Amino acid sequence: MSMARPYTRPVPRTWWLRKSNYLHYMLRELTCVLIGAWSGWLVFGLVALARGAAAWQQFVTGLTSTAGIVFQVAVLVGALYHSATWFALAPRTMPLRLGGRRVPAVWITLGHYLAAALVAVVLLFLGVI
Amino acid sequence: MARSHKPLLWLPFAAGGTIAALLLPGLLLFTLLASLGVLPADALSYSRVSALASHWIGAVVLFIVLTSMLWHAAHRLRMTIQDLGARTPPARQWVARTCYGLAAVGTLILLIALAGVS
Amino acid sequence: MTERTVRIEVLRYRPETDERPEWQGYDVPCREDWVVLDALNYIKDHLDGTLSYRWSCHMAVCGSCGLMVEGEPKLGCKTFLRDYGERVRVEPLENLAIERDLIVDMSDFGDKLAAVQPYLMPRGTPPDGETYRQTPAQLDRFRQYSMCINCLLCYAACPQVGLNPGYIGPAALALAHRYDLDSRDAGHDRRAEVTASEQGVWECTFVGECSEVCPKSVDPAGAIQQMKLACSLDYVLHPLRKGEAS
Repeated sequence: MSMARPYTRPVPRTWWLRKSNYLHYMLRELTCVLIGAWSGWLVFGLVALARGAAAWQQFVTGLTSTAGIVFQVAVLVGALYHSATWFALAPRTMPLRLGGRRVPAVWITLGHYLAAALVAVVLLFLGVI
Repeated sequence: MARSHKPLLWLPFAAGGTIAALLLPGLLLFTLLASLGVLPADALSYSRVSALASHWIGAVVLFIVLTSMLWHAAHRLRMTIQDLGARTPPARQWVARTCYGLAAVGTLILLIALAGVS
Repeated sequence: MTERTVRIEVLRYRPETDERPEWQGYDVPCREDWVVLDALNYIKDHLDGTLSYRWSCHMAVCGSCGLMVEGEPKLGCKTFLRDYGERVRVEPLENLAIERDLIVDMSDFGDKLAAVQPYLMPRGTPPDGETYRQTPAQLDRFRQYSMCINCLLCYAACPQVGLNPGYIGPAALALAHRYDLDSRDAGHDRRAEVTASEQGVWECTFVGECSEVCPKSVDPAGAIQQMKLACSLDYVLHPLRKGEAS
């Protein structure tokens, strides 16, 4: 008769605290909370816009309040971490080949950064004119 | 085993994540600087923003950007809650329905808002 | 060559006598160039013949000696003791059931590997007397993913393997991708029944730790993301493929 009795080690709920890479992963994933909250807030901003100038002004007041600014800074930090991790991983999801050779991953990542910077420049330009 | 319907959720996640990654830093910088008064006062004025949102191109862009980010966040949040402890099938189902339900509600409200602006 | 004494602490488990795994320590006189596997061999040869573990080539090509060294998935033959202090903790690979001492149950992985049909399913045979032809560029597309030595370090590293025992896992999925990318192969649809199922690529959340620990730089995480994209585009562009999910 077989003496086999395999032992399964349980995975603790805090598995993601055991390694720094796991913690970074969890922080990356949790940026979605900030991004989702920001998107939701913008949706309510558009609701205010639809309700008229007075409602919109109230929304802008919320945006410019201390709490609003702290929130935006938090979302910006989360968004930057999301972008950095997303751009680093993009070349592995979509490896590019040009002329039969691989495009180095770093170029794909830098290309993404360039595009993001361009977007920022355009938006700020539109805000200034 | 059979092929999953997950692509219906993964493609919006991927699209939303890419849009968020490319757009959000610039967009947040814009709103932050506007909130701090660094940009001209009318950057966030009612007339400018409603002009943008009521134009059909602006409305389409706003819809695509916000919807994709909502569904990106919903999918990622669902997977993360699973990572953090929701393991049984009924728990997973509840988490999925809640996350995507929130995104669906947000999408609906967005549609109504955009319709109301134009 | 200088020697120093390293205390190797091993998580032991003997199913016929033990209720649960327990730590046991051994003081091993180690030479400067020793790897963890050398210390284990010393223990077995001189200190405790009952210690059980897998090993073979001692040069990181057979994939037998996977274990956890100080909590990280490593090959025993490629982990130098000089990189560690006076005490080194050695355990069997995480997320896999322990059979005995450092030996883990690989039968589950064997089933998952077989399930993805990791063999060429060619779209045709070459003309009589000729071989398949493949350009260097065509080879380059899949070569990286053919380097897997089935060491299972990636399964030990992947939290989703730990959280969902049914998940097909990094190595099996990467090998499926190797064949999907092979220009001679036409079996993608058949493999997708498994790789695109609920327990296939969709359980992956791109933690990426599998690729970090892979001793052969296979990058299973990258392979899985590429498959997610390919499966998704397939789903949208060819919705009438057979085998829809229940």
